[in-house]
Amino acid sequence: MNGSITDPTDFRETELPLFSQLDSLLRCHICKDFLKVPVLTPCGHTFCSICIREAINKSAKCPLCLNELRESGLRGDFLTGEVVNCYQNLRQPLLERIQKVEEPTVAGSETSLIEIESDGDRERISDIEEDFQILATNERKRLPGIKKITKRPASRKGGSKSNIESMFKSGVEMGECPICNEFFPVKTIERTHMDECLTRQALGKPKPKRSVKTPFQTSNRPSSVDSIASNLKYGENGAQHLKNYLESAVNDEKRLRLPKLDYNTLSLSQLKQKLGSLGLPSFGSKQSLMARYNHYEMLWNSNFFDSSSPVNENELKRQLLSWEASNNLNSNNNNNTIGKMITKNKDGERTYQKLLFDFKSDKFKRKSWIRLFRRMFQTLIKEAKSKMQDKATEERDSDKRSDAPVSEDYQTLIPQPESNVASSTAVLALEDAQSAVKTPLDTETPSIESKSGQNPDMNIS
Amino acid sequence: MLKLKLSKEQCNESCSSGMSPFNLFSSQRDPISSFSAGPVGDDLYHWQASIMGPPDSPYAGGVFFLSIHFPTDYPFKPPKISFTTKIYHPNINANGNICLDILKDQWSPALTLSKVLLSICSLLTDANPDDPLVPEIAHIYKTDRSKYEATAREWTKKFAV
Repeated sequence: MNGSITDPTDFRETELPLFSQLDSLLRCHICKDFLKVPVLTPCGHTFCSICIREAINKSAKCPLCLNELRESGLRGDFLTGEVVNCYQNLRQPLLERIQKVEEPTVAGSETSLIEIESDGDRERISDIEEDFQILATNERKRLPGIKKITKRPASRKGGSKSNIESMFKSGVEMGECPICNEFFPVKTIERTHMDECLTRQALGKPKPKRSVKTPFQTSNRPSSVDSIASNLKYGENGAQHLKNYLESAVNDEKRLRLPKLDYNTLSLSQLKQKLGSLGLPSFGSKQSLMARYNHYEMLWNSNFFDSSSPVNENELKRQLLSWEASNNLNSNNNNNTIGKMITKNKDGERTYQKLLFDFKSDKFKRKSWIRLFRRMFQTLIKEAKSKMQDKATEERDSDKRSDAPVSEDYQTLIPQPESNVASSTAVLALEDAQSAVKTPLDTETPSIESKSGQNPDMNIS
Repeated sequence: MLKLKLSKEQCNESCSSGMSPFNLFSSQRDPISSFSAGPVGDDLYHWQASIMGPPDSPYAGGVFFLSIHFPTDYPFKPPKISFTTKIYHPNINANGNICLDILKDQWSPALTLSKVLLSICSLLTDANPDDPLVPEIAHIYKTDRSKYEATAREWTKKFAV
């Protein structure tokens, strides 16, 4: 689906859907990403070192089986770590290779009838699988599936013939070169290939890769070259993972465990001193100093105790900084888009902040929440509707607008969010949410089916 | 924004913009499930979800909406979930607050939003009158089950259909 975020469901539509289980197994149950510096708990579960340490700081239980768990019980799991690293390198090429193809693949470069037959079989099996999946999973797939079924008689006919046969059919006569015994179009042999082969033989050079491109060679050759290259590449990587694993060892003598602090007995200045001695910044309230030390202690112990290839302290400090930066960002994040959208109305802003605060502190006020949002969504719907009508004309104008100076562009953008594509999608999303919020209030609401069908319509129209 | 520690499945939904998150969750991820969820606007911490009333419960036929707020330290802290739609249930009060152990002390960072919504679905099927949030409803639930079911059906018809 996309490159940046991977998910076990990526394998669902491939020829080997079982891989989604392997994919799930190699992920941390806390962060849902691939295990990073995995550690094993005494109860036999594996998590990322950072994740489980943070979880234990909040509650001293195993997240999966809820057994009691202490940080001292964690042990680095080097084998799993290298398995995950190895798998991560393998994942993308694997996914590409087992992706279901629309057309039956042309048989491999070493053409033989048997291979083509088996290829056909495989296609049939995967078709059955796909038909089965169509029944079981989403409707979105139905369209290509049906297309494929109707296409198949024609494409299978093509697939059941050897490439050479189909070459003849497509009007290119093939002939065998008497020197290198490989098949080429007759014309190529006559014109250039024989000469090339003869000179090569005379010079005693090894046979080069086929340079003449025939329709089936163009599709086959690059992939086989690819596979050799990637085999080499992954072969090397595999050896590297094995080496990493064999060389990994925890050397306790060299490593100093950062202790937990008892903040009740520490004064602010003592805490600052402690942070200073570790080379950490000592500004902020006691609360943030404590959070800083806790996070650094976690990073430190995870790095020097669980990781088979620990990084240096400076890298840890960099990680701590980026953690603090993103954390502060998040706490300021109350000023999000919805907050900004109602800044025109100061009461609304205050109500929203109050509602959000109440919500966060377990006091959810349903009615006022709906009331606030309803007002806002109604204006948004109006904006969105008028924008949709103007959209066509605006798109035409957009060429002219791109010539205009940037500052002017911004000025037009701010009061008129209609021209901003990003904000328009946000408006649409909110519009959907509006229909969601509105429905429980309205007595004359459509049925469930029409409700779910409502949203795509809004997006498309 | 992706630095958020939302679960990957949730991120996947929220990142594929341009479509209603409600549709995304239900149609692409889990077609059989009776709930859907997605972020409200650009704020990945604030989500909305909808749950279909389980067919074997008095809430059948209703669609219930929920507001979800993820704390910044999610998944180490539970998300805050409240019903936006009024519902007659011994474990859900008039403000929509839900009394569910996994949303409080029994939370585990290994839980996902879909598991939580599934638990809420099963709470609708099997209420827990021994740990009620609304003792009056719990009392009726225990003493006069048919009256409880009738009222729940009525509320569902009134507010959730």
